[in-house]
Amino acid sequence: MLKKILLITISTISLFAFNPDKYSYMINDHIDSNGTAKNIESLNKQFKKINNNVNYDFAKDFKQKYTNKFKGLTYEQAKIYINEFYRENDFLTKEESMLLLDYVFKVRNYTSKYANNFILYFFTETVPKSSISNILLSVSALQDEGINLNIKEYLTGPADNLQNYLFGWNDFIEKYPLKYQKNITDNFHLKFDPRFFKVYEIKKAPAMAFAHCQSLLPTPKTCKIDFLIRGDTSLLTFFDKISQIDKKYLPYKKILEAKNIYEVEK
Amino acid sequence: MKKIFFIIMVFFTIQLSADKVELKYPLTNVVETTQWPLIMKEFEITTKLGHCGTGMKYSLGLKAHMIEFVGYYERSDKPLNFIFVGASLDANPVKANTPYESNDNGDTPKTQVTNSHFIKLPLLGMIFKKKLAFWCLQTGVIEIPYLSEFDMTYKHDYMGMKMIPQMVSMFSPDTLISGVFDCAATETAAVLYGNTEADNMSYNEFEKYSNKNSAMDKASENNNSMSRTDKIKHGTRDIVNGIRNSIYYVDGCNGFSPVGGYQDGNDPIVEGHNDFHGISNILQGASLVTNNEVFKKQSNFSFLPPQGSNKAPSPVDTMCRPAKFAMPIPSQFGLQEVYPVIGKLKEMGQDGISTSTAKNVPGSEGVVFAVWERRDYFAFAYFCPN
Repeated sequence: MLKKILLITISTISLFAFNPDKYSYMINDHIDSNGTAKNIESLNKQFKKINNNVNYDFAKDFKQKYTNKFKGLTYEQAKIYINEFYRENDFLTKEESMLLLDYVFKVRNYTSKYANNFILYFFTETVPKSSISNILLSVSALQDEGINLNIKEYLTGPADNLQNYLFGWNDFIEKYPLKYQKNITDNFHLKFDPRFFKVYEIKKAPAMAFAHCQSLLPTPKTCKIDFLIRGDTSLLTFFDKISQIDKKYLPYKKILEAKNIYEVEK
Repeated sequence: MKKIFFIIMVFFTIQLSADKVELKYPLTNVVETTQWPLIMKEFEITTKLGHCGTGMKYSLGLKAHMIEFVGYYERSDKPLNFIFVGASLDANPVKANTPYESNDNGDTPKTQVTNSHFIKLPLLGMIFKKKLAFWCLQTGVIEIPYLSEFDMTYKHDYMGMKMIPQMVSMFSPDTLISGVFDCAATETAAVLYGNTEADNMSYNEFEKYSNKNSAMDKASENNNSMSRTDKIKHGTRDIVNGIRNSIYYVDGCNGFSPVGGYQDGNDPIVEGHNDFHGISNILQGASLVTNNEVFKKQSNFSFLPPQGSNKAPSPVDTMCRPAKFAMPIPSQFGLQEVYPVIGKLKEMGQDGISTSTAKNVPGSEGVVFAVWERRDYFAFAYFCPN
């Protein structure tokens, strides 16, 4: 009896543990039936022709494809790959796929090459909503003129009545005409980050900073703050002060002067 | 004689001090190993109104985005070895760890199946519970919903393939080319979220790095049909994430999604990233058919194609509550290496080779990642997960 049990266990172990390749062969059969293995071989040769320096290797074994990587491809390399190998299908034509690639690389290019300009606004719950919305509308006026400027608002910390405060904001925005409401809500991004308050020693709110950051999510380490003004000022006076130091910001000031920023009646 | 004794003593003291130097396991050092500032970096609340529920349960909310630490994902050569807490059950390695070589010609590299675990640990939810209502943290207890040692499909590809027909049907050279899109989109998402290598640089270094001129730069300068601010307004991140999630069978820059735990044993970190793609797929699928609802869809993205229309609608609306979803969602998760080296958050499928790879300690027990999960929701109205 013991011998039988031993025999069965040994045979099962040898089947599953020592011969797992038995199952991996089946994958190759599956590929051959579709005729894709031959395609892989031909692709392998063509890929090597395009770029000898790239280590993309379409080997015979299908599993090795997992290690294929397209990382760090430049736009031109990616374009060659799509041109040469992308087969048209109903889901996405070659032209569309090229446009898609264009789009992705353009976004990456814009976000990585050009530093993102940010207005960082630091405030507490007691700061009047009208002065904040004035800044939001000014930023949107600059954005409409094609200026790359984003805004993030930093509250000192979440309070117990945060829900009431934020819904209060909603009631406040409704006082504006419809076209301005969208401009305010599109630029209202409330965040909590005490690190900014600590690093830039912001002990009294409100304060406003002009920064340029590496990504769309500002952090004290990845953002470089160029100007910081403490106190309740409008964006126009902010750029007025800045342009006295750096003439680069003079167009910002002129745009804001030319445009009347809507104000609600108190 | 005294000299010999002295040398022996010195030798022993060195040995003893060497024993004391050991790596801290992630759970025993959770404050220092986890990248907590991510919470502040990504959390954002807007004034865009939305509502959840009907009748008596009707409630108003505000659109928000957050990220939270949900658990650990670990990978080890030794079976039933829980590195995240430094505990091993010393299991029999015969079946659990089977190194084997690919079949014909003998020119294929040696391959290895390691053991993967996912440990659910909603730490912030365990501490704060429902106190931070606007944040709506995941709550629960520590549990291990996935152990590859007890998953037959993980060790044998043939069985693994049966579990993921939607993936296997897409494995062909034609579809592999779409990895070009996926990789480019993943790298772009990493730039948008600020999780690139450039993030580790000081600002001056970054300016040097970003001022490199390439053909693409010139091409984009010539074609200014749409300003950058316009793109941001039209939901750039949504579309980039949509591309990543639509090409579900490719794990960003790491190639195809794995069948089971089959890897070539070259780089444990890249392989860990790739393995997590497969495991998240299994766990997403498991939520459809079992009560074990570990991963669900809780972030917004729009599916392909963005051509013509601005964007296609999000597949399932999850602004009010998470939904079961059969496919992996790479844009929803991020992995941060916590053992043996503490790294920064990386997008799923993001370029694996980095400074943290170079620092990888050879001969260590394995790799542990902290898993971060994103959510788009209506704050104050969201049905908080338990």
